[in-house]
Amino acid sequence: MATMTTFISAFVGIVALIGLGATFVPVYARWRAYQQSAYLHIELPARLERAVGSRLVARERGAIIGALAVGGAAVLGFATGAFGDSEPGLTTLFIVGAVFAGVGIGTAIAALTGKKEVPSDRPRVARSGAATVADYIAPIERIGARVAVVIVVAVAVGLAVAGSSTDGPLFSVAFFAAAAVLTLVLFEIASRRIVGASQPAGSTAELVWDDAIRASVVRDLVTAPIALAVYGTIIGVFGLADTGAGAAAYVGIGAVVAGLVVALVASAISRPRRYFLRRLWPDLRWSDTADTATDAA
Amino acid sequence: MLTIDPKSPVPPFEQLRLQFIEQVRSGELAAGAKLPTVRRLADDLGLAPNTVARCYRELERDGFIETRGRNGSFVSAQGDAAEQQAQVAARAYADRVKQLGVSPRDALAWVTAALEA
Repeated sequence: MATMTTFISAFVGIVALIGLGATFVPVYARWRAYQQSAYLHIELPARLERAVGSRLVARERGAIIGALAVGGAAVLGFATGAFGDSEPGLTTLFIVGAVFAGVGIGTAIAALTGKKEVPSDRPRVARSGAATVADYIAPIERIGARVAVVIVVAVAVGLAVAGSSTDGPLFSVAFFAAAAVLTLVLFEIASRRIVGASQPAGSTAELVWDDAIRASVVRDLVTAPIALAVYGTIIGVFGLADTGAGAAAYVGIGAVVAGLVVALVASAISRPRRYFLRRLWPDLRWSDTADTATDAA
Repeated sequence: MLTIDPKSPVPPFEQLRLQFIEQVRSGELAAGAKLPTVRRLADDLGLAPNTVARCYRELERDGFIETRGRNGSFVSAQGDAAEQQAQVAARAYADRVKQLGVSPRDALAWVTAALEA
């Protein structure tokens, strides 16, 4: 493994460890809760501050631990030569891909193991209609992840058909395609379980905040398959160009780059972090989540 | 939004049933809207699954919702099902009043008093 890759990996690892340490500091949890409140334009009642903050950092902690575990294993594998030699640029992509996969796995575990209780003598609030995963994540991300994974698998098949050697990009693309498929399956299963889990809430504010955290977790989960599929596709289309596929491969490169730009712009414009509010709480006002306004308690 | 107050003198089953009816009538729950599963709603509201199941059964009996096998429960296309049900209830009351030999004037007075209570 190249010295520069080792240095960058070590630096990122230290930053991640510092971030992990921060999740144990109460002030950080409080800051994250209010940051989320400001971004989403949802009032954060003082009595929910601690609960929301601790759930947000628990999710972050899971993501960082997952990233450190899977990313660390990848770094160790390359450093010891267990994964063989590859180009420095490709090694970095593998490690970053492993980090994304780790973030997805860690987030899923943290989200699925958390539990929330409401005292039995308090009023309980629930949504009267059923919610689905589609209410928590924008179509551009949910459908986009599936499309991106189909594309990277198609590129891997294209490389195999074009006769690329296993030493070339075929192995890398096949690796990213397999990882993208696995993390997409993880997203589909975990997101359904997260959204299907009960939402014990004692007030409207609690329910809105539970939705906010769920939406955030589901969005974190979808990042891994998208990132892995995009990496695999980029490597794959350049590999196709090298195999002599010629003009078709360059058209493919152009299409991938154009698709990425369009997806990024569309995603930025649609503000996907606030998507769940538009779907589940279309008439929500800032004051609706304040303690005095609609809390049933 | 559904709210169950454990300190209310109204039984949880009735609180739930009345809120569903109100939301269907007001259009907050539109025709075709899917309801949460019995287990999910019971967990969310801290009720026994049997309580929610009974509520769903009565709502279905009264024409507010319909069950589509394993797909779950959905709000029925309403029109004015509530008015239809009210008329059915009024008919049953009138029949019973006749059987008992009570005068229509007294029967109406009791209904009015009950509605205004």
